[in-house]
Amino acid sequence: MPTPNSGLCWVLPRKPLTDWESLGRCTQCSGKEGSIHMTIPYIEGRVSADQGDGIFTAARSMAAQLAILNVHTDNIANFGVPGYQRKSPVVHPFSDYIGPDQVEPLASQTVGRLRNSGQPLDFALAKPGYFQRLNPESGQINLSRDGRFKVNPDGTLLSLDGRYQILSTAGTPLRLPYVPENLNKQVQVGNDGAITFYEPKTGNSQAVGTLSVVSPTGAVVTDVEIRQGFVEDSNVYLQEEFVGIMPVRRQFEANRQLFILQNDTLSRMIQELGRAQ
Amino acid sequence: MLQHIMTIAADNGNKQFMVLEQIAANVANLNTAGYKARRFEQYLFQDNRLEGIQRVDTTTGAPMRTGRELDIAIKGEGFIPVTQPDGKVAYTRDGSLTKNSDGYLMTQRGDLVGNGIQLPLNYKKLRIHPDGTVDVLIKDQQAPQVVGKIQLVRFANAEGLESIGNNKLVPTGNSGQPEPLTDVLLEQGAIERSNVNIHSQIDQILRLNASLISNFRIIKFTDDIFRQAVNLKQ
Repeated sequence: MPTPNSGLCWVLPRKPLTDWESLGRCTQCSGKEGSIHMTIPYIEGRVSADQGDGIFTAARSMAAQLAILNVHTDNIANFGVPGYQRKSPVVHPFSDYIGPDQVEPLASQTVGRLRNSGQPLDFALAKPGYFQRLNPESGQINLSRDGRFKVNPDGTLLSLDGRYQILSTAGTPLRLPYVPENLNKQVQVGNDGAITFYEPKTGNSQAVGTLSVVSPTGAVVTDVEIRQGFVEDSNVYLQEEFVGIMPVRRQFEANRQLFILQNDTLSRMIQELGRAQ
Repeated sequence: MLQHIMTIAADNGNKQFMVLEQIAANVANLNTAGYKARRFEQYLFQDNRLEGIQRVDTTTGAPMRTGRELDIAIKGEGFIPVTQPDGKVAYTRDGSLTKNSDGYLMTQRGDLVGNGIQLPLNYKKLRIHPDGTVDVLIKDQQAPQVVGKIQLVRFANAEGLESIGNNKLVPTGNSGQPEPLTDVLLEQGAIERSNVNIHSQIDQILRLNASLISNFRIIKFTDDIFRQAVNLKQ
């Protein structure tokens, strides 16, 4: 029980929080000016210096739920993208700041379902690892599991959007000697990613290079398995995403209720304090 | 954040409808001679945005025997150049030919084959050789008479060709310029069927449907949260 302040009369009616109206006047001092009655313990902490802190906690938590929802939305949107790796939202519990920055998307490393596409330039990674793609304009290299490639008229292997060249283990872009008439027969990729180019006129095969496969940190992966004519579907399972979304909704609602509750409390308090003046 | 989620979901919805467009075109052209299946490939653009491009499956379709002497199927690579009524050249693989009243070899869409190959009116038998040479046997003559040649062409990157409708393609900077094809193998009396794989279309439709449903669910869901967030006072 707090000690009575000067000008305020403290009583302990122990009413529920929703029943604030009846607390406006003191029954003992019969509504004398300058008296106010408050319940204990409901508002005890809130009349202190850090009052309103709960409101912000609720608001930040709602923001965190949205960040989680965002990760799930990304997964659903990229369900049809071969090579896409599902991201799971990881909430850091040790931080006292709950906000969007606290939610970190973590890529799942499981290999998606391999689907036969029949395209000779579709190379699927059947084991973890990434292809290295070079942006010839900026010189930057990024990683992707998307193994659907195409060739430009001079034979250079390109990513699907045509913006990246594909690197070999030698660190140079892979390039076929020329665009073959029959890609199916003339371009062969071994399990280890070695590309050979078959010359039907002479009957000779020539090595083009080996696809570079690296780990997320950039280290060379030795355990490589590449399948030609396959694409790796994304490892997103839609039902999992919706299972993940359900708690988001409930927690958002719960935090919203908490927010409303505390906001009402605060507003009543301000009203009552104002009336007491 | 909420707007961002909405944008992603709306964007994805649009992309799925583009996939549907390709599937619809493929299924509609299941029996179109020489039709090449299209597909809409989705990929991740920078900052995780969903993008997609249309690709064409350039593999050869199975030949179907018709026994008609004006039907030709191209085995392997190559395109038949056609001159459109406006004089511009386009390329097609539709080998179901016909002839007009003047005896010119035409496609079913009314374009001249090559620069125009005129057949004599009173021929008895027409042969199209595997290399594209067209000869006719005229009544009361012993030796066949060569009337022209269907010179097939190839492109360095056939996938870069742009479709202008009616089963015709035109070259772009990405496809390279047409080069005459030397090792041609034409089969007379057959047409090339479309290379659409109907089973894979069904598979794609199922995936697309699942993606679309989830997508609209997410929009509905986000809308609920949006409303709750806006009406935070109630």
